[in-house]
Order: sequence, then C-alpha cells, then structure tokens
Amino acid sequence: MNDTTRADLERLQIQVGRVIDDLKAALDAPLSIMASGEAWTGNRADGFGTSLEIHKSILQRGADTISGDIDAAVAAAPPEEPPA
Amino acid sequence: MTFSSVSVAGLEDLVAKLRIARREIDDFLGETTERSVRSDLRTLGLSSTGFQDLAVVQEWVDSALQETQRRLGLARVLQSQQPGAPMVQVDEDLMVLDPALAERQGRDLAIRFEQAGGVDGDISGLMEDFQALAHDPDAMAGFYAELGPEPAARLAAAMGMPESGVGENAQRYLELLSIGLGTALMDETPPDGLSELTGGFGQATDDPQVAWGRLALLQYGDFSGSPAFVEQTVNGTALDAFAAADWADPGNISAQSLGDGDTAVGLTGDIAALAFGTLARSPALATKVLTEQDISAKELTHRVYDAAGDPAQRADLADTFGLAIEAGTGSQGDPPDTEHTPEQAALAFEFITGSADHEQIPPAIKDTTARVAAAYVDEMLAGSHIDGGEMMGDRGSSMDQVPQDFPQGTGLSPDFYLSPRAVYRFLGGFQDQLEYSAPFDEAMGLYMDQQLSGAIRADPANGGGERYQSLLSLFGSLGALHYEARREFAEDFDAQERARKAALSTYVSDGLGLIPGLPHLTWWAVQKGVNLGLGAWQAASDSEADQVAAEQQQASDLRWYASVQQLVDNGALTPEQLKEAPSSLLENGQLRPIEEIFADDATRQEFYEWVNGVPALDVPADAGQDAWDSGWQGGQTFVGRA
Repeated sequence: MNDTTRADLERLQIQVGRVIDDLKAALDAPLSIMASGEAWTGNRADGFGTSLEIHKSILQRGADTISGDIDAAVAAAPPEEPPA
Repeated sequence: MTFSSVSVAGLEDLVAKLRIARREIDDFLGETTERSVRSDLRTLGLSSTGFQDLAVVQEWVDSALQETQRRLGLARVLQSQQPGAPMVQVDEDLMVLDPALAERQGRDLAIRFEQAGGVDGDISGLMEDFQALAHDPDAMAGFYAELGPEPAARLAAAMGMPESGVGENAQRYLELLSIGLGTALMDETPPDGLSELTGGFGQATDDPQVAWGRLALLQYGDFSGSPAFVEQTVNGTALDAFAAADWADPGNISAQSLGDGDTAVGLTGDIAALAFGTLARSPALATKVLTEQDISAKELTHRVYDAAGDPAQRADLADTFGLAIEAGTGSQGDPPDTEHTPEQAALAFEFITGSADHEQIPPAIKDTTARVAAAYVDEMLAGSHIDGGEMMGDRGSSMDQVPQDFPQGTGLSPDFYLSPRAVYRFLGGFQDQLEYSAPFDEAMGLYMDQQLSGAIRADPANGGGERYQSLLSLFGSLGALHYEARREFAEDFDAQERARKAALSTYVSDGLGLIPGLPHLTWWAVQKGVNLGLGAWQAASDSEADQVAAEQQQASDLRWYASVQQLVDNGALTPEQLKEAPSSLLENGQLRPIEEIFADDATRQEFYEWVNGVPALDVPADAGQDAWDSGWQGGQTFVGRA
C-alpha cells in the first residue's frame, strides 16, 4: 500500500459498508423459503435447511472479518496532512 | 426409497434466490466478474481471511444450486403427470445421480441409437433403456442434444412407417420419444447441443420424414412450458409452407404425407394436418399461430376447404384444422364457452366469414362449425338482424361496425356483427344431419331462455318492454335463417322434420320451459309448426295447405303460451295479481304447469281468457308475437333474395 492514502481506505470502507449487510443476508431468502415448507419437505430438505444455516453463519463470519480488516487498515493509516 | 415433497413454484423461487445469493457473494470474490471487493482490496495492498469463508460458502451454493435445479427438473416432469397437485413426490434415489452423470447417460444412449443404424435391428433393448431415463430432464436433455434434430425426427418417423419394421410397439415407442423430448425441455440447465435441436426443428425442410417426425414428437409429451419451441416447429416445418404462394404444389411440404397409406401409429400421415392437430392441444398457441400467419385466417380457411374439398379428400386436414379453430376461438367445452378474448373473437370472425363463403364445406369440419356457432350465439343472433330499407339485410360483416338501425337496448354485446348472409350460409354448413346441428341447437335453447328471462327481469315494471320485443324480433330472424338454411342444405329435410316433430311432443308434454338435458327442444319449438295432434291445432283437412296453415298457427300459439309462462316465471305479475287468476289455473298459489292447462280444452280456454284480461301478460305476449313474426318475416324475405 505504498501509494495508498487514508482517504482511499476510507472510500473503500464506505463502499463496502454499503453492501456488507446485503452479503450477510444473502442466504436469508433461501432460508426463509425452506422454513416455510412450501418448496421442499422431508428428511433431505431438513438436512438442506441445516446446511443452509451453517453456511449462513460462515458467510456472516467472513463478512465480519472482511469488514473488520478494512476498519483496522483505516485505523492504522496515518491521518492526512491538512493542505498548507 | 426416500421421497421428498416438492413444489415446482417453490423450487423455482428457491433456485432464483440461490442465484441471487451467488451473485452477491461473487461481487465480493470476483470469480466471474472483473471488479470485486477482493480486487479493490488488492489494489490498495490489503487482504482478508474473510474471503476464504466466502469461497467455502460460494462452493456450497454452487452445489446447492446444481442439486436444486435437478430436483426442479424432476419435479416439473412429475407435475406434468399430476396437473393441479400443489406438491409432488420426488424419489430421492434419483438425486443420487449427479446431473452431469445423468446427462452423460443420455448422451451415451443416443450414441448407441446412432450406432444401431436405425430401427431395422432389435431396438427393444434401447427403448427399454430410454424408458428408464424418459422422466429425467438431465438425461433426456443429454440424449436429444447428442442425437441432433434430424436423427431425432427420423427416429420418430421410423415409428410411424409401417414398413420400418418396428412392429406392434411403434405407438408406445413414439409416445416415449415424445414424452422424453418434453422432459428434456424441462431441464433447468440445458446442455450444449439442445438449442441446436430446438432451433433445427424450426427450420424449413423438404423431407416428409423429417417434417412428420418433428411434429410427431410434439404429440404426447408435455410441452406446455415451451410454447415458443412448439410454435417455431409447427410454423417452420409445415404452416409457413401452407401459407406460401405455392401451397397447392404437390412438392410443397405441407401438401405431403409420411407415406401413401395409414401410419403405424394413431396419427395422421398428413403433415399439415399434424401441424394443425398440434395447435389443437394448446389453445393459446392456436389463437396466436392461426392469426399470425402471412395470410389471414380467412384465407387459411379457404385453403383448407379447397384442399379437403367435398367429397372429402384430405379429411384429416379439415378435421385437425377444425380442432385447432375450436381451440383458437375458445369454442371448446361442453357446452362451448360463450365468453371470449378479443383475439379469439377476431379469429372466429375470420373463420366464420371465410367458411360462409363456401356453399359446401368439408364434411369433417361440420362438427367444428356447429360448435363455433354454439360458442358465438351472441354474434349469430346479432348478425341475424335484417336491416330495413330497399335492400333488406344487404350488408357486409364487420368486426366493429354496428349495423344501421340495429335495435337499441337489447343488452347484447357481440364481439362482431355478421351479415345475415354469413349467418345463413354458416348455419347452412352443418345442416345435413340433425345431429351435426346439436351443439348449436342446444346452445340456442339455453341462450334464448337466458336472454328472454333476463330481458323480462331487467324491466319488470314494463312487463317485458322494448328489450324483450327487440330480442324476440332478432330470435325470429335467426329462427327463419336457421330454418331456411336447414331446408336448403339438409340431406333429407323431410326426415329431419319428422325427427324434430317427434321429439317436440316431449317438449309440450313436459312443459314449455327448458327441459334439463334437452335444451335444443326450446329452440326447435319456436321455429316452425309442429303437428302434435292437439285438438285446437288440428288441420281443417288433409290438404297440404291446411296442414301447413295448422302447423303455422300451432307454432304461433306455442310461442304465445311459452311467452306467457316465461313472463309469469320471471315476475311479470305480483303475487296478488297471480292470486286473482281462476282457481282452476292455480295450485298452491302458483300457476299450474302449462302442460296440465293444455291438457284440457276448457282449462286452456280459461287460461287464454284470463291472460287477455291481464295487461301485464297480454300486452307483452302479444307484442312479443308481433316482434317475432316481424323478425321471422324479415329473415324469410332476406333468404328469398339471398
């Protein structure tokens, strides 16, 4: 990040902040369909639903990690010098 | 075996949402996109272990999508076998098969068919293997993608050719091949090659085996989810050629057949007939295809009639064209539906006016014309209006122009206005035998009762006012046009008359209203005289003139009594007014059944005198008689000039 400024990182932070919640909720709709029982029911369906929940947790963990890593990079970047 | 309950709509939703989830994750990972959050981080020299989690989820979503798509394809096939069922049972053992492996099995089977070099050898083993895969969309999509359009059509054609040697299983094999193609098109993830097959079926061909085979493959499977494929196959294979200028040339593919004789299966060998028969299975498609040809549906009708002719030549062509017309005009159902979309009505207008241009129509389409007339009773009635003036009834048919002097306030809302000539000629087309006319006669009996009852109820204060009289005038015209069309076109008019009069004795003995299951009698009774042997209507002598006069009087009296009964049934009298009727006419405060009143000369006379003293009955009944007679005379005068 030789040429990376704090402003670049902050822009990235804002950009990702706008979509990170959508990412975390990406599996909510499939989960909701499975929970309704209107698409698919039975033992296999139950297993599929459980797997969906597990992967939703992994997705949220990954999203939080990415978000946290960007926040840490912004925090570690030196403040911009005010223009002379 | 393990089963799951699945819903096609629910799985379609699940597939859609999983695809959205996949795109959202990919916006971060950038596996299929140039720009992603991961690439933006890299540009700034950053990285995150969070992307590893996302990659795990992405891989799982890919797998879940694949599994759900396969389950959806299987569910669609099952749903087509159980239409209307909200959930279907999927055998989970089939899900063990990877979609790619299922596709491979289908492709391998196609290769074995190709290696067998046709159907000369024993293909029973191959067809048994085909049957095992026929309901698996991935396998069937692989099979047809591998086989390609021409070999697929030729394989089907071989089943139809008696000389091909397939033998007694030809019908079953053809059905399986068709079901398999329908299954292939339900595949959620069509493999390479399938679009070549579907596109190829829409290309013009001059090979009758290829043409017939393509169309035969559409006859048994479920193609409801692939209307565009059916449309392009039917048009490209046969109907574009039928609409071309050289349609009558024996070399035109639409003029050809699979072979000289009958096919080995229960399908016509006539290529154009098979194309029209395909449309008959899909009403919405029939409407669209029949109205979107390069020539009008009227011209299509002319061509079919010219090709089918009378005496019958290509009877199958007239038969299946008729079935397609019934589907496309919304004339299916029993009784035929009388509510239509504008597109259906526009097609019906073209067909009726085209058909009416022919004095003789192909025998195989007569049942269709009667059903279309039954479905378009409003239009038949409105078209019977005889315009006044020097050239009575001399006008053209129109989709939107209301005829001059058309009676106001009839409550009718026809989709188009036929000319009296078109009504007369169209009805004449199916008058050879009384049986041909049955759908129309039954529909008219019901329709007349509904319309007249509605008119009386709509204006009770007026006791059957202008609307009632206007409708009776129109029914009188239509009655005359129909009666005269029967006299002109019936194969044996006297025999028809005898049958009609015999049946009408039931009508009078059971009362003058609608008889459940026999609504046509209502229509027959009002048209023309019947000799029922009732005292008051006996002819003065056996001379023909006296007989005709007696029958005319009898029909007129019948209509009058029927009108009175209809007025009473529909509330033209208050309960108090009814109570004032002579006690011999009442039973439990209600008018006695009309047939009981008829049964006794004295009672009938009493009834007649009572009605004459009740303006709410006498005025509209007499006016109704005059209106009917006026309409009838107009119709007869018109036919005399037609």
